[in-house]
Amino acid sequence: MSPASGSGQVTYIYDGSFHGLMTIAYEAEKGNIIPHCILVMEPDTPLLFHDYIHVATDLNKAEEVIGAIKTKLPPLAYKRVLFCYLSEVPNAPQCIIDYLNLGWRYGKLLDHYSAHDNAMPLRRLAEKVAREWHRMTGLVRFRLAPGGIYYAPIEPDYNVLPLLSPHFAERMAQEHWIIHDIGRNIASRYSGGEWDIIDFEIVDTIEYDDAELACQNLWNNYFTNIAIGYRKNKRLQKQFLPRRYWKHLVERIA
Amino acid sequence: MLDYFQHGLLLMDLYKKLEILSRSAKYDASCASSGSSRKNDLGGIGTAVKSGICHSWSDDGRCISLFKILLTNMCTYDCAYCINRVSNDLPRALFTPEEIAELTVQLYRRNYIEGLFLSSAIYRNPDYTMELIFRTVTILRKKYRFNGYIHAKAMPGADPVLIRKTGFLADRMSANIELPSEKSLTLLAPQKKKGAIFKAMINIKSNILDCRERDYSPGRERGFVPAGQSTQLVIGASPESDYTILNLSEALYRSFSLKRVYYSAYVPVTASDARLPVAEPPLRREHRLYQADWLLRFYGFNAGELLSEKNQNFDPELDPKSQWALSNMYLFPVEINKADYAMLLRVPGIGMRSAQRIMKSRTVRSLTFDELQRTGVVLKRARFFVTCNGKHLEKEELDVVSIKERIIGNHAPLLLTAARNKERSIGQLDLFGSNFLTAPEPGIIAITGEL
Ligand code: SF4
Repeated sequence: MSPASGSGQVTYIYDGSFHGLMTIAYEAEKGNIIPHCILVMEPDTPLLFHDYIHVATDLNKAEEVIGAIKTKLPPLAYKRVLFCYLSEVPNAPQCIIDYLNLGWRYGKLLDHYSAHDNAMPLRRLAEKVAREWHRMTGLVRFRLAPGGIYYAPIEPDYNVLPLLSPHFAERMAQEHWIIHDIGRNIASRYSGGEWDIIDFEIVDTIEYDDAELACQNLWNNYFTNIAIGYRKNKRLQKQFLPRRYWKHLVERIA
Repeated sequence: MLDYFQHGLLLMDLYKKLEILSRSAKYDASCASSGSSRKNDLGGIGTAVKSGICHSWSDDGRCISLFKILLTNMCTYDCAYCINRVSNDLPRALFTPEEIAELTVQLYRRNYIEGLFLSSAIYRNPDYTMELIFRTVTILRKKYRFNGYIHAKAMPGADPVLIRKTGFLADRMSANIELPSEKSLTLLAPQKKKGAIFKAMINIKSNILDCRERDYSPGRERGFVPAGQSTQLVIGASPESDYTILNLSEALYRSFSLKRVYYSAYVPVTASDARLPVAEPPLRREHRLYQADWLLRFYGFNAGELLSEKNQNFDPELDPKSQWALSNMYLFPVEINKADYAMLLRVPGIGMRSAQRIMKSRTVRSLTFDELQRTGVVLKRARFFVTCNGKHLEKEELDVVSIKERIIGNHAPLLLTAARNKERSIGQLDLFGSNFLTAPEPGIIAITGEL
């Protein structure tokens, strides 16, 4: 298919990596492209009269953009961009490019435009990811599996595993642990001061020993006893701890 | 070896003990893990996070952050409002310091908890109990090299040296005042002495100051209660008004530099004591007090502005800030694009974060109502009190009574205890970088607390 020149309908396709997206940001900043739509994969049914351009990831260009975000924009901008990226929602790449465009214009003053249409969507997404990240630091439940490995299954909405890992690497520095994002089939594994993220699936069910099961019972028991009957408030409980997070907890919520 | 090792209770199995002693511990509300930030040290376990982390929420909607437990519920005192009082018929149990330390570490490794909240009944005497608490904390910090959060109770009447030694190992300490006046204390907790409680609190405070001044040596790695001290007041077991209570809190914040005062609605624990009310726990009242407490600490209000001799109690229907605004209508409306920060904070529906965003955004252009909403302002409440570029949102002028009706009508149904939890549920999000203001407790600077 030949480029439908002048139609303005151009979709950029990249490999889905953060550096890939930063490469697009680089090209956009240089005025080489005006991203209209950004995709990770070629769609099954490409639109007619529509250009699809593959942008190859270029580490140098990407790092240049990252450096510029860190030095030219307000201190939290990079964190926001990264968090927005980790949301993995379809329009996240577009939100990031829009935000950066605004950023190159206003530099350190970018935070004064937090209500701007090009900033608000990114901030909203970043906040959601941050919220879930923080929530998950509390909700991860390790089980001591055979072989002395602490294993925790999670199913977060967003890809918070890369954010959780440093927290537990420090907190549980002496242990071996695996945090398994079941929905994404990835896991963070830690031992001896290092963690990395790998593709991961569990084939068999894990058999926990009696000591581990006793500990789980103990916790469940505690959980039940610590509530004040007179103040029972399931609605409030659900507001703080939505049902979708219950599955991988050790305590059984009725 | 201490003689309690021979105690028959030791044979009781761990489950049973945990059941008894967690039930006995649950009425203490001051169980938060915020205020300390600490990295793990080499070879140790655990860290502390400034904003605190909730690990679960129990059926009453309260956050579970710390493993909240009593060393023992065997009490020699007879406080009328407390289930653990000596005259109450209740199963009793006693943990050893070793057991608590081991349990804490086991629970911590599984990420069930953020640390330990250790309290106790007065077992034998205050010194003896304080010694047990000190030993537990020592085992955790020294043997297990536990770096997670520890909140330890200071037993009023205990040797100041013991309290001091404990404070160098704990993150936070607290002595609970419980009853808001000396009269009630004498009536309902005859063995407790106001003097002893305040002495314990002064002791903690002067150790904090002392430690700050001396810029303690590197050998002593954690300083004295880095997360400060707190206390708890029981609401509704005695007749004090909100005004008395709020004035007390204000004085406590001032003179003891407390980090938090916690309020705990009295839950009836006995049917047959004429000194105590049999009413339902005053949850709504507790909620209003938390909101007002927030106004004292972060919004620049003082107790005398919110309540007075004539008007001693909060309106259960209305949040304290709206109540204040409605009785000070001459100060409103406030122009969003001109008002100073302190005044913005006083507008109902504007929280700290929105006020900061307003200040930032309006340096580049003046805000419209649309943009105002985007800063997170709750327009349902703020609409009656502000103008944007001279424009009102309400077409006609309303009187106080109808504004009040509208505000009450607009309120989402109250999910009580939300104010108490706020510190930990949204306090952590600093992504919006609103830290150009210095709040008393930096860890919770980003809290909106939309009051
Ligand atoms: S001293 Fe009073 S409040 Fe404390 S446990 Fe004993 S009876 Fe309860």
